[in-house]
Amino acid sequence: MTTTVPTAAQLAEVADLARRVREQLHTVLSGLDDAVDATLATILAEGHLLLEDVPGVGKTTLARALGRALDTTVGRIQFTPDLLPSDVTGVSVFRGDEHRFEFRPGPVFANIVVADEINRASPKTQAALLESMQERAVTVDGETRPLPSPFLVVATQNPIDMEGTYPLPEAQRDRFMTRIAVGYPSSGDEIAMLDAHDGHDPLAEVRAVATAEDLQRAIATVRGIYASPAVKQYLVDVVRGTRDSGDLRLGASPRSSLQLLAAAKARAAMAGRDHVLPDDVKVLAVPVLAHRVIPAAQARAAGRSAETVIRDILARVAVPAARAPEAMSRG
Amino acid sequence: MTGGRWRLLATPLIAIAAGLGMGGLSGLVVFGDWLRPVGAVLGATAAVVVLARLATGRPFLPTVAGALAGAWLIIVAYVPRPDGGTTWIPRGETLDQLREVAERAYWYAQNSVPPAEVEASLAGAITLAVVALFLVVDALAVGAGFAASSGFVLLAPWLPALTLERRVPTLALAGALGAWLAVIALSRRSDRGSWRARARDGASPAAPAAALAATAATLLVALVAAPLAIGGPGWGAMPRLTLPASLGGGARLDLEIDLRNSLTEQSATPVLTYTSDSGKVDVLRGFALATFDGTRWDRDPLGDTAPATGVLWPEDTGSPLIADPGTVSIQMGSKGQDRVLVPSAPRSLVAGSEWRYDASTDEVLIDRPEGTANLRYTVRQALDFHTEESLRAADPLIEDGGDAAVSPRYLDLNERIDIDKVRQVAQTVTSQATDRYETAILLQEYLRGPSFEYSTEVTPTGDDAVSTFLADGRGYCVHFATAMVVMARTLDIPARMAIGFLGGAQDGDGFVVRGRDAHAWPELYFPGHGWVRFEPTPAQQTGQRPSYAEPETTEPTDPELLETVRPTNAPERQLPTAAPTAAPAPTADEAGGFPWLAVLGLAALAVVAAAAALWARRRSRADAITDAESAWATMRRRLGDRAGDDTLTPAETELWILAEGPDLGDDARAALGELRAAVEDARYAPAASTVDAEVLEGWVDAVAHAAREAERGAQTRG
Repeated sequence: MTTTVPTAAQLAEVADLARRVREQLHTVLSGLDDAVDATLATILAEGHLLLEDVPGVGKTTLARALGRALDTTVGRIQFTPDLLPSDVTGVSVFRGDEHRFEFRPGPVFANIVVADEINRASPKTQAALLESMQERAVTVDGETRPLPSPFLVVATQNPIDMEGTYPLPEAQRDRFMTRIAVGYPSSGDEIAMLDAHDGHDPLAEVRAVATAEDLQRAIATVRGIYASPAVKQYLVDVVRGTRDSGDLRLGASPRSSLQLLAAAKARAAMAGRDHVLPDDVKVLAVPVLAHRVIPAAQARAAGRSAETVIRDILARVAVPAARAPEAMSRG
Repeated sequence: MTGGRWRLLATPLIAIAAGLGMGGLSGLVVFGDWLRPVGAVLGATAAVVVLARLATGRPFLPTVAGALAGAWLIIVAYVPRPDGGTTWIPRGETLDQLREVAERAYWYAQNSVPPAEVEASLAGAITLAVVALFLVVDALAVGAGFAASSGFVLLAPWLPALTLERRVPTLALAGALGAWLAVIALSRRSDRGSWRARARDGASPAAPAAALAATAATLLVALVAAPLAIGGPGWGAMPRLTLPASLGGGARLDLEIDLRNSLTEQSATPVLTYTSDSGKVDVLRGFALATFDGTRWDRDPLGDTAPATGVLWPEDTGSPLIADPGTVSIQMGSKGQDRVLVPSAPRSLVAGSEWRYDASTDEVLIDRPEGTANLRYTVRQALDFHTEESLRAADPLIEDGGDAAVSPRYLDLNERIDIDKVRQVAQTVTSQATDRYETAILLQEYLRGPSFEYSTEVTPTGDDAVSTFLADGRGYCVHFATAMVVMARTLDIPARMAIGFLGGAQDGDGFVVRGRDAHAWPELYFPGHGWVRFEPTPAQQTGQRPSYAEPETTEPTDPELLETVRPTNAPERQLPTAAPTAAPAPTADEAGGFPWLAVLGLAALAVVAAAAALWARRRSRADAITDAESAWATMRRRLGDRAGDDTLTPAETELWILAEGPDLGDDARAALGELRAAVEDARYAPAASTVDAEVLEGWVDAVAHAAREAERGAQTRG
């Protein structure tokens, strides 16, 4: 995997792709621009996405619209308590006529996999999905089969109705690059939504505006984005801030630093920039970090969520101003 | 950067300022030809520093080069080889030579009395100090960039003059100050892109602080420094602190230092005022001294004292002394000592029990803690007590051994004095005298003659101040008086040194005696008559001779005779030591005590100046727009609260500025955007593009200007 400095044309291509996808999704999901951007950044940074919110705010719609806007294969799995790992990964079936086993790929063999209500499945089944997310391959009957590329898992989760669910353990939450709380739309957005749904399914109007190959190229471009020492310092300062914070029982892992940087690079490329800005880090800090940290008991008692704590940290960490060294010795 | 050139210009300016710093030694040393090599070494060192700075970009390497060059030049100029040649190449033995020179300079500085003639070793030490001062200031101002703060180091050579209240050459002080200001201006010029931009921008947000500092400094100067400097009435109203004598605050200064101070400083501080029904008094005496060791007068042991009542005069003349008295009412100033000032003729006092009279020294003492401070007393004195006739009439008594009436210590001659030579001079001068009166007049006129010059710039002398003075011909009242006393003694005339004040100047109905009227004069003994004052010090300081001491025949002393009389083989001047120094002075307090308020005021001034300089420095550092980063910082500083805090990214800062407060207008918004892009580029882009400093400054100015205009507009509307 070589990283080359992206050319202006490559950057423009990524920016254009992001713009087109955004346009398509906007027709379906008015008011979810931040969520859409985070989603796009996640896919370009080769991460996975966890959508966590109450039912009916458009989690699944977002996932499906994304699948349609990108001319890619989409697999969908509705997680239920009785879902088996093989229902996810696929199964080898015996073909009597040919006297051999044939592998029937599961829904995970797709560019975009929508895993609805992932916390409803048994931990074993969850593990099967999470493993394939990590490995980008599926091993069935001792045979490893690579998953297509690009590969994005969009898992949704309902944080309210927790009865009879198996909440994802921290280690597995850590595998998702970003978590997005979709949130309720504003009143204007909700009216726009009603208009859009008036008499027809807006999802049907979403056109595919990018191919898997386009995405592959964009992903390669993102890898070459430059992050200056000042930005890396800022990023590390923020991540370390979560570890030093008295409001958090568990801070963000080093893996989260890596993923935050990758996501920030994707966001920079989407803006047509060849370098990361602290703004990229700032915008993505909550989606990338909030689901990995655990608020301390007293913070929870004070009604402070992980998101609030991270925003506080962002409001505390100074953005480094990289002064030229000679500026200090100047007479 | 453009800064290179200002450094080359600043270094010579600093050299000039450091060299002019020698003006602070004014009054401590005698300026002369020795200044030339000092200037040469300083100039050469400065040249080396400039050349080194041309050759290297390192900030302190030129200082090191200058130090090496300066040290070598000083060795070449002031440290001779043992055989007397010039030390071109320092060797091991040069160290010993160097130590010897240093010891000599130290010894010299310890033992000479200012103003000192500068001999080679002292010149070397001064050169070393000046070159070191230059290098330190240069390193500070040019190397480190603290141009403003370096002024405090430049102040160092002026401190002695400041604390000793000496006069300094105004031109030198002004020149040093000017050079320093020029260095600051140069450094500031290089810091900022253009002054026009500043001018266009008007006062900066921090201007109130500067105005406050300037106001404080002005007030301090007006209230503290200026009245002190002019000795004006404004100062008189302010309290002055006086330290007890034990702390060295005033009363026990050396007569030498004190008299000279009084004379050279033209001290205008009033010591006392008096009214008199018989016109100005000749002198008011506090002390009479007998013991002289060649360089120093010492106080005599106190004899038996008696209550100071009745007529006070040690000599029993057998006739009423004060037939037709003149009355003098004296009001002492706030400074006092234990000797009461009295006229030098027979007098009587209206005095209390604490007043004592010591006939052996002819001094009036007062025994109370504050001495004569604020004392008011009336003294009646005999007028025209001494006349030529009465003095000439003493001669028969002299032949009868009348001198035995006084202590033999008034004839003592210390062995350190070259008695033979002095006696030879005295005899030659007085060869035509027929009696003691004529002898005294001839001695007085010889010293008042053209061979002697009144000068407070006195040369340091050897062990024998009198011989040196007679050879040198330069001195002030102490030297003239001492010479006459010693010469009289070599002729077996009892003589003593008197110290007090001249009659002062008319002031309304009365007279005022000031510090500068401090005086020393000889008194010669005339049996049956008492101690008679003569006035050998030239008229420019003392005015007229006493009426009885006018030479009746204006027989001009033959100049040629004087030339031959004057010892030509002046005593080899070894390393000089203290000049004649007399006993604790009655005049010690006349200067008004140590001006603590002034020193405190100056210290406060220095603190204010330091704060201002620091502030200016920080400001100038923040103001220096050289790159996008500094432009961004300057812009944020100038916008103050409006620019958000450090946790905002440049883009957020831009949004914040546009969101908070009134609208900036299109141009400023565009400039802000450009500036934000430039700083993002500089900070975070892989290869930062550089924007010209002038352009950056234009953007900063546009934004800051628009922000202020917008706020002003908002306020007006509000």
